[in-house]
Parts: sequence; structure tokens; C-alpha cells
Amino acid sequence: MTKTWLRHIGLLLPLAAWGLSTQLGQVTPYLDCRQNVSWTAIFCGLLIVFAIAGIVVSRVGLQGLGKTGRFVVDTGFLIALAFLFALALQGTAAMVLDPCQR
Amino acid sequence: MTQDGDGLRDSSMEGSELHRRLTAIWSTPSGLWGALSTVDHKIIGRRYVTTAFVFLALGGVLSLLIRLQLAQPEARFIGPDRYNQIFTMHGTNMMFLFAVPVMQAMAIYLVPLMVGTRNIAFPRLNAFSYWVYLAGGLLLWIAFAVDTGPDVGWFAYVPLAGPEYGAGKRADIWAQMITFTEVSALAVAVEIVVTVFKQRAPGMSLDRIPLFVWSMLVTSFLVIMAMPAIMVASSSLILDRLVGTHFFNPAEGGDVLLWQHLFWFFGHPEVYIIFLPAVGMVSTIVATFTRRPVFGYLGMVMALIATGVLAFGLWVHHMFVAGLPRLGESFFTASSMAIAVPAGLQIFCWLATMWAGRPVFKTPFLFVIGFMVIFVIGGLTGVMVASVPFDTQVHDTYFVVAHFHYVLVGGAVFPLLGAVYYWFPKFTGRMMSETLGRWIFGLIFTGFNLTFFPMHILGLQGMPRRIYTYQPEMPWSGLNLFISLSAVILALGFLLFFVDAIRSARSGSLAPANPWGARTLEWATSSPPPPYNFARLPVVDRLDPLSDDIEAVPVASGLRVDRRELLTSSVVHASPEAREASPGDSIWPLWAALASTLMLIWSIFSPWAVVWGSIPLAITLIGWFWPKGVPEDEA
Repeated sequence: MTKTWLRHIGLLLPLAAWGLSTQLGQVTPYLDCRQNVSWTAIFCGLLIVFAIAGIVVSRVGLQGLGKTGRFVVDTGFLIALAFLFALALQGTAAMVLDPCQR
Repeated sequence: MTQDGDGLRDSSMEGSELHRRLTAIWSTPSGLWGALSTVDHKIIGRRYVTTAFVFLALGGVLSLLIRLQLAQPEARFIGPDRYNQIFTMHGTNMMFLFAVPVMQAMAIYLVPLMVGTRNIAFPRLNAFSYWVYLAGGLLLWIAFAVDTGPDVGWFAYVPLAGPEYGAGKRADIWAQMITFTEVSALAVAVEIVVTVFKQRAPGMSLDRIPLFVWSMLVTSFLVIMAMPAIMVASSSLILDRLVGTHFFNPAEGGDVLLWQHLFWFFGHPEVYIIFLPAVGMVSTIVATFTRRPVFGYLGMVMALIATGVLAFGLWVHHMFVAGLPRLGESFFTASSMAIAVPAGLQIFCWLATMWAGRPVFKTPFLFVIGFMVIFVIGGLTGVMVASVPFDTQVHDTYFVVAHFHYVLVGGAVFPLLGAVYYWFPKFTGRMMSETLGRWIFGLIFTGFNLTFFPMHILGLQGMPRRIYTYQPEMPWSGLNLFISLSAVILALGFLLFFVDAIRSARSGSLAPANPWGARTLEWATSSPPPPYNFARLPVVDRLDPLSDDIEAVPVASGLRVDRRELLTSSVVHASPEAREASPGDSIWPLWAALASTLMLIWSIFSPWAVVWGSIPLAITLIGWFWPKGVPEDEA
């Protein structure tokens, strides 16, 4: 049961991290500008770590999975990579753009 | 033949006897009453497709009127008020009455056949959804005919659409039409999700689902998650206009940007609601006409799901000039760029399939090739407008008009036309003309590119969208005349398409059961299919179940033949779980749709309509669900 849950976390965590990052990206630029601290980049970095952790965890314990089970986990893994890419782009934007610019 | 305490089963029944009994149970009675009460997914699907194409034709006529007006500077053919209604009607009609419904309609017809079941889940809800959709379409077009058509653009921004500037009932018509079409779309989405998850043929595990079915599953989830946002928005708009609430009134604590956020949280996934079914259609057609399964099935499924989820993180790229922080906007640029990855993956998978296969260049495949060319151009300009500095320059210009027509017409209409040629034999039992089909493809492909490519240049030259005329001093008149003339070629292509479809439905050559040598389950039954779809439900043991002889497809038996019955199966492995009754024909969905229509239209004029209008609606729902003592009522 635990293993099954861990396998699918690879699909869930990067997606959740991306969703959260997208939402935070609408809030934290105001803080960044006011406090002169790059909260946006910090949060983005943390969420990238979470996403990578999720992907790594999902790759353990694949032995004994049937063809369909493997298909589900592999699809989740590929989807997770796409979202990790989106997160990386967001992180890059957070580092290069002026948060006060409108 | 097996008769036990649980009803008459098909286990040892002979072919003709089985056919006779199944036909008696599943067929729709003839006559008007039968037509109004049918719940057969094939009849409703055909109705949906036909209605959607009628709306396409009407929207096309509007676009020709627009082009006629813009063909020369300072034209007086259409006045500004009527022009505002026409471009609003064109966009609204094409998005809400054609593009989304036609894709769902194709799924209503095809998904149950492709997953090997006898009817769609919740068939009465399906009938209800059609009547509600039809009522919404009629509301919009009748309003337009009496000069009350919406005139606020297809996204009806406030405060233009609000009570301060939108006098009369035009914006209310738009907002309530949204309710009609979104209720309808949500109903269909729920049916498709349940059909795919619970009614797949035994053995059709998740890794054996046809790509078109995958695409409709993802699309349905998008509908379920995106449509409530626009329904909340349009209902709030009606409340602002009718009751005096202030959701979008900054003077009283409301927020106009709330409208844009709500609209585009729906509006951007809407693009993928239209595009993803086309991905499924293209994958199906490519596999059939290259004589091999699509390269990278796993990657294609990943791309469908990733695109579906990413679609919810792009909406602010429609609001780049709204004054939000640049850093926040850049997050949406990031996601907009990232979505090019799954989109590109799909294109490369199709190219690899064509490279490794033996392509047969029939009409459906020609439309797929046309789609690839046009969609790639639309995708490239999409990457351009995903960039904030560029978008700031071309926002609300004809560059954007060109871009979204390339994406939507290229990304959805071309595959759809290919799909119509491909599945026409399944729908009607007759073939469309191959010769005419090639002419139609040539005219539409040429006409489309000549019409819309120059709009990029017009946009770069600064021509704004939605202007009803322009001065002769502006450098736009030559290109506008060229575009308007090119639109005639495009219109001629569509006219020929309608002629071919009507002619072929009446007198086209008879189609064999599987005219293209396809490998998906809808071709395992006759064309058109019998009312019960499959005499015995197929059992799936591979991704392309018809890769061998059709007769060799294993089948399941044991279903009752004295009531409408189908098989439910598990979500992941599609292992059979239970025999389930499928509801019979009923007139109550029509009455419920009429009661809903009464309430929704009345509520444009009085908020009390929601109270009093709910009484006839409640009565029709009670009638709908009241047990009738028929075998289908049994568990």
C-alpha cells in the first residue's frame, strides 16, 4: 500500500509544486519588491527540490509491477519531468527579473 | 439460450435470434415520439454533430460579412452597432456552439464504440445535454435575429458588459447562453469520464485505451474543472446586471480584473478542450493511414495529460497588458513555453509514425498533414505571443487574430474535417467522395493560409481587431482586400464540403464494415452500427484489437437480452465487475430541458424566475427518476 502511494507521488508532487509555484508567483513579487528579498526565487527553489524528491521516490520499488502498473508509473514520471521543466523556467524567471517592474 | 432467475441470457443464443432480441430491446421506436425520447448515443451524437455544423455554417456566414465590411476602407455595408454584434456572435458561436460541442459530439458517438460498450453512461443525461445545447444556440441566434445579439466580444469584458455600459439585454443573452452550453458540456464530460473509466470492454486496460479515447478523457476532466469558472463568472455578471450586486464594480469593492481571471481560467483550457480531441483524431487517422500503431504511445498519453494540466497555468498570458507584476506574468510565460514540450512531442511522434509507416494519402490523411503545417505555424506564433514584450506590442491586433485562427482552425477544424471523412462511413454507412475531398482539402488549405497568414502582417502594421472600418490613409487596405478575396476561396471549400456531406449521406457509395482497414474497436461492428453496437461485447488483449481478422476478436457473453444491459469493469485493468442496466428511452430529459430553458431565459428578466422556475424543473426531475417498473429499474 505504502509502495503504491510512493509510486504515484512522482506524478502528484511535481504537479502540485508547479501549481503552488504558479499561485505564489502572483503573490510573492509584491513582497520581494517591498522587502528586497527574493522570496519568489526561494519558494521556487524549494518547490523544485520537492518536485525532484517526488520523482526520485516514485522510481523506487518498481519491481514486480505488471505491464499496466508500469505504464501508469512511467506516464506519471514523464509528466513530472515536463512540470519540472516548467518549474525550472519559473525559477530562472524569478532570478533574472526585477520584482518591482510592472 | 439461458434462462435463469436473473433473466434471459445470450450465452448460447444463435446470431439471428440474438440480433432479433437485442434489436427489440435497444432500438429507438420510429416516429416523432421516438425521436424526442431516444437515448441512443449514436442518434444523439449524430444530432449533435449536425447541429454543430449548422452553427459552423452560420458562423462562417458572419465571418464573410466581416470580411465584406473590411474589404475596403470606410465601407458602409455594416454599421458599427451591427458589426459589434456580428464579431461577438462569430466568436461566441464558433467557440461555444461549434468547437466544444462538435468535439464532444464526436466522442458521444465514438467513445462507447471505441471502448466496446453498448451505450454511453447516463444516456438520459446525454439526451438532456443535447436539448439544453440546442436551446442555448437558439436563444443566441434568435436574439441576434431581433437585434438583441450580444455586442461585447466573445469574452465580454467588464465594465463594457456590466450594467454601467452594457444597456439592454444583449450581455445577459451572452451570459445565459454560457449557462446553457456549459451545463450541456459538463453533462457530456461526466458521461464520457464514467464511460471510459467504468464501461471499457474486458481487457482494455489503461495501456490499451485508444488515443482518441484518452484525449476525450483528458478533455472531459478539463471541461469539469474549467467550465465552473465561466459559469460562476457569467452568473455573477447577471447578478451585477439584474440584482445590483457589485462583483465587478470597483466603486463598490468589486474588481474588474476578477472577470478576466475567471474568464481566462476557463478560456485558456478551452483552447485545449478544443485541441486535445483533435490530437486523438489525428493519432487515430495517422495510425490507420500509415498502417502501423502510433509511435510512442506512452509519450502520447503523457503529452495529453501534461498538456491538460499545464493548460490551467497559462491563463494570465491573456492578461499581459492588465498591469500585473512582470515577475508574476513571467511565470505564465514559463508555463506557456513549457507546454511546447508535450505539443512538440506529439508532432514528433506523428512524424516518426509516418516515417516508419507506409502512408496512404487519402482525404482524411491530407487534412492531418494540413493540420501539422498550420498548427506548427500557430504554435510558433504562440511561443512569440507568450513573450511579454512581444505580446505587449501585438495585443489586440490582427496578429493575435491570425495566431488563434491558426491554432484553432489548424489545430481543431482540419483534424475534425479529416475525422468527418474518416468516420463518415461509420456514422452513415456511406463513403464521402475521395475526388471532391481532395478538392475540398486544396481549397480550404489554400484559402485558409491566404486568408489568415496576411493577418500577421496586418497586426504587425498595427491594425487593431474589432474595428468596423478604417481610414484610407492607413496602410491596411491592400491586404484587407486580398484577405477578403481569399476568404471566398475558403468559403467555397466549406460549401463544397457541406455539399459532399449531404450528397454522400443520401447517395454515397455503400461502405464496408471497415473501409480503411483500421484497428480500433468501432470498426469491429457494422457501419452504421446496430442499435446495440455489439452483439457480443469484445474482449481486448492488445492495443490494436483489430490488427488480425475481425472475426478473431474474442467476445464475452452472459448478458441479459430481456433488458438493456451492459458490462461495468475496473478502472485500471478493465476486469469485468458487474452487469449493469442501461436506462431506456424517456421523454423526461426533453421536459427537463424545456423547464431549464424556461427558468434560465426568465431569469434574464427577473431574479424570481430562479424560485418559480425551479418548480416545473423539480416536477420534470421527479418524473425523470420515478421508478417505471421496467427491467432497467432493477439493480
